[in-house]
Amino acid sequence: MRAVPAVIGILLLLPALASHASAAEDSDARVRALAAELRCVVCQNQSLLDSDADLAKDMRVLIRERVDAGDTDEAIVAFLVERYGDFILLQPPFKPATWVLWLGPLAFLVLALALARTRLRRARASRDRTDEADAA
Amino acid sequence: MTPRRLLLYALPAVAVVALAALFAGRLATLEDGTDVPPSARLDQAMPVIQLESLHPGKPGLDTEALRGAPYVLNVWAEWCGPCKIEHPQLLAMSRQGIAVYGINYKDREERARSFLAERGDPFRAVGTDQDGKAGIELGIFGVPETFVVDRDGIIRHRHAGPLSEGDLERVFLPMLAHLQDPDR
Repeated sequence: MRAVPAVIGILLLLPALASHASAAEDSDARVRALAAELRCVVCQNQSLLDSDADLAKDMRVLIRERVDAGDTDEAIVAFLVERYGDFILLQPPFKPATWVLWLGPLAFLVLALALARTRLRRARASRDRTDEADAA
Repeated sequence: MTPRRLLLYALPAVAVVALAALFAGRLATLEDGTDVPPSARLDQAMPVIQLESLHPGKPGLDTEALRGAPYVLNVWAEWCGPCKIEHPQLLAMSRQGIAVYGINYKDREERARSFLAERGDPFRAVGTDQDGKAGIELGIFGVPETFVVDRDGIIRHRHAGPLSEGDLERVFLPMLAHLQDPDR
């Protein structure tokens, strides 16, 4: 029964191996999530995740290395923005230069609602007047 | 129609024209003939890049050591067609005494060396970027790209795509003359 200590040793190691594997899966998931929100600068309407371009592959490798080195998601995104600008973000940030972009549609909606309201009111007012005239 | 009402009806048309102007203005910031937006590195310090030389035994490329005088940094590869087209412009700048440095981007070194042997070598030093990290450090979109750096190590210009004779005459040569001798 000399194998028993070895078996016990392996059994004791198993959780460690499992947690190692799940850590790797976590990093994979983080790399994928980050790559999905970053633009491939070669084929510009694809994300780094979807793109087969060489540069996109290199960036995925770079993201992987930084994830493994313990960088936060924010630090990794900031690293790429420093080199490629906001252009690398598929979702533009909310800041003065992009206020028109983010708030423009909302402003148009408010404007349209306001216009619709005045028109409806006027239409109702003129209908009421016609009704009164008919009644009289 | 009252003037006020006319204004109201004109509003959508005015908005469309204003938006079109805004979009056209943003599109105009792309580099000529490319879909490349202005470099995020423009007007910022050249990042520290240290690479082994493409030529074994020769000094490599170290951007820190280049401070003190303006220079041109060209990112190229043997496999890149436009790099062949622009090569005469790099040679022309080098002949005029301009300090031209190179980064050989993700290339087969043997082929890159014969490229320079056949067509002429404009580079005072050329580093090899095997894994493309230096390229990402510079924020390149592809090859070729060419940077103009001033004596303080600030990136003053980035050109994406092949250099033409016109680019040299209109942009590179006047800018470098000014950077060499700002008082002139």
